[in-house]
Amino acid sequence: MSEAGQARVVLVGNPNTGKSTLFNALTGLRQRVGNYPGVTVARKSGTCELADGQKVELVDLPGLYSLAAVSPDERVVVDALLGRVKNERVPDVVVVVCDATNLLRNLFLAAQIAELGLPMVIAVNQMDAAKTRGIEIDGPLLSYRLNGVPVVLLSAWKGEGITEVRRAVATGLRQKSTFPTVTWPDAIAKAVATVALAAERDTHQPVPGALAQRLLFDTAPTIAEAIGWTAEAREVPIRQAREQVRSSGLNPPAAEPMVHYARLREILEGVVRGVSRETATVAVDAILLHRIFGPLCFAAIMLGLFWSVFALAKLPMAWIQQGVDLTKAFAASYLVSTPMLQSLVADGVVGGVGAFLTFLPQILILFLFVGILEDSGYMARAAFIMDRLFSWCGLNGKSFVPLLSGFACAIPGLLSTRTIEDPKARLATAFTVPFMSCSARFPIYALMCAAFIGPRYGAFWESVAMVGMHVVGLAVAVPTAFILTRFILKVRPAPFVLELPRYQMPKPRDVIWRMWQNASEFVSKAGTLIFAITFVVWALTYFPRDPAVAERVRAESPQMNAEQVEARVQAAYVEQSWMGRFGKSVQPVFDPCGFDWKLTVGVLASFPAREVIVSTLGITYSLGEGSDANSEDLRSAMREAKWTEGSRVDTPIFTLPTVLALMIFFALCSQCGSTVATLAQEAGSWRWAAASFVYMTALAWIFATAVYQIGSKIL
Amino acid sequence: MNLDAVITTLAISAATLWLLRRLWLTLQARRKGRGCAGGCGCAAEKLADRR
Repeated sequence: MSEAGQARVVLVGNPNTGKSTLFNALTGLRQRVGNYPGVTVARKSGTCELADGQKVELVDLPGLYSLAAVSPDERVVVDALLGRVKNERVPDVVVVVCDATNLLRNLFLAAQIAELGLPMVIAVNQMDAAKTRGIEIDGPLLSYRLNGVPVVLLSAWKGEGITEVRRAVATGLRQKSTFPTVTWPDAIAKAVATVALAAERDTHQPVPGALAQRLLFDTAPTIAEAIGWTAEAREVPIRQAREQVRSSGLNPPAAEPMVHYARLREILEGVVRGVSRETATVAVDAILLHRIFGPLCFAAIMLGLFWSVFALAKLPMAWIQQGVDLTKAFAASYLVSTPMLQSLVADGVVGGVGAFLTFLPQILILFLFVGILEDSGYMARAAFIMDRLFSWCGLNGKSFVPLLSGFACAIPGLLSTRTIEDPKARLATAFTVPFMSCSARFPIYALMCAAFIGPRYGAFWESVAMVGMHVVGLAVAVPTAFILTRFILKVRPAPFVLELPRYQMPKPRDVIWRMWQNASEFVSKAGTLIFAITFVVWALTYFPRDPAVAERVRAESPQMNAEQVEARVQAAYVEQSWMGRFGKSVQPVFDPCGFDWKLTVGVLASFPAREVIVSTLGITYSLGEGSDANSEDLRSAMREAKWTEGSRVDTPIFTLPTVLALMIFFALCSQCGSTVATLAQEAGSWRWAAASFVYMTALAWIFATAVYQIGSKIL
Repeated sequence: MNLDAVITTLAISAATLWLLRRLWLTLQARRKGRGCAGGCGCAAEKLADRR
């Protein structure tokens, strides 16, 4: 809710017109932006200072093409414009953000909003792109034709015209100029009046003409439901009104755009000059969207991305590892008089958090490249390439943003399903989003690749394994979606309409900001969740400490030197710890996957959050090696780990089949408490969340077992 | 109980309580549909930002 007396200004416009970029420029906030449609799915607000010093509440709303709202994110906009949000009145000024390269289509939304009678400001954004295409826009003439509605030409991305927007909003608030409404043909005007009258009679509340128009034109019942007009009550009057329109030779759904566009063409006559020239975008797309070269380019870009992540991160990772080793050694020497605390700090906290933090450089580099690909406009092309796959498996065309977001984190991916109109298609997409390989899986992939695949097979195969793990999720998501959409939910196919954004040079500030945000989230997680969990995992792996265990081991190893005996004592303590006993009792479940009890414990500890496995392994291996482990990092310790009992005794635990089985288990398993909770929230039922959890976990176990069993036979 | 054991016990208890509190906050946040309690790496609005 805005502060008392503070004016409310809302930003609306078509998707990907730069609303959030303008919002950030006006408020100084850092709302998520992206060079593809559908990034904003909920309202965000901030304070903006206008040119006259007045402070207003600025609200950023999701993009939409028309007020005929169907999807939940579009309803958010309509509710905000109608003042139907709890504790909020109608906006004082609506800033319609338009794309300068397609002003006619963007002004259609403005013309619809005009019917609501709200004061307006037209912000014609992306003027830089328009100039490149040879398009000129006469702002003052447009303002004159629009009854004095302030018009600003700007390039929010470049920071040009922001002061003018502040001035225009101040003027808009003062003048309250409204976009001129259209003169409707008589048949439509009469039909609107009929609908308004019937709705007022049934709902016992005034229904303005703007709402009656939506009731007449829209097929979705958004407005009818908002005013409480039941399906039974509205069916006859709306059908009769539409018949009235039809009898005059007009088709009701087509009449609205026809009338608006005819008038908008008159308004824009002489305002938009120059012919749009074909730009580099068309030439580049001829290759990147080609049926054959497109997917090949996509595969090459992904391979190059992961190769760069490994190659560039090697040195900084070694520095962090050195820092962790030094800290561990320092803690061990400083706390020598308190052995329990020494182990807690050195093996538990430093070992666990340090193992996790080692992956910071890879996370930074990964998000640098992802940011560049997103900002350049390539990610939307990648979605376009994937659409053939999506449409085959029955997913909605709009599923691409949720699935794309899911590669960073499933939670924003699940929230983006709100852009999908059909509730069944939304549910099917939400169910498949957690299969996308999120960045939380990255540390375990990176650990396995760096410890086993890289040293043995080289950087190229490391990259192939990383791409493979990202493809595995998608490969399982596609048949899952197919079964869901065709046989369980029976989703009706929807056409894929995607406005491809222009290619642009990524803005260093945005890319670095996104990289920084992800890095700080990663570090803050290391300092909070991982830090706290290391205490608990350490305690469970350290206790109980029965002196009889050490005495027994010492008695059994008379031939060994003191260092070897100490290592065996530590290993025996870990095996008889609470964690060891628990791990050993559950290990038979994961034995077919090739996991020993330490991996089993790591897998189980990772159900609240995937990354926990790295710190858990860091502690169990650190404790098992003893406190003077010769600076052995986790990777080396894992390479040397061997089975201590059973038929595989004294053979390495981490063979290629085990490593691949573990990675596939993490690629498919539902190991994130927040994702399960968000899925329940978005699906509106815990049953779907529970089904997703059981399905993903069972699938992960089956695939990991298959990979380990078949791999062990072949390799 | 010696000092070593006392400090270790206090540290583990504090960490356990913190984790339980975080779990409680996450459940509360989800129940009220108020965004994420944080720490999951997601871009959703953080519960802490609202308070």
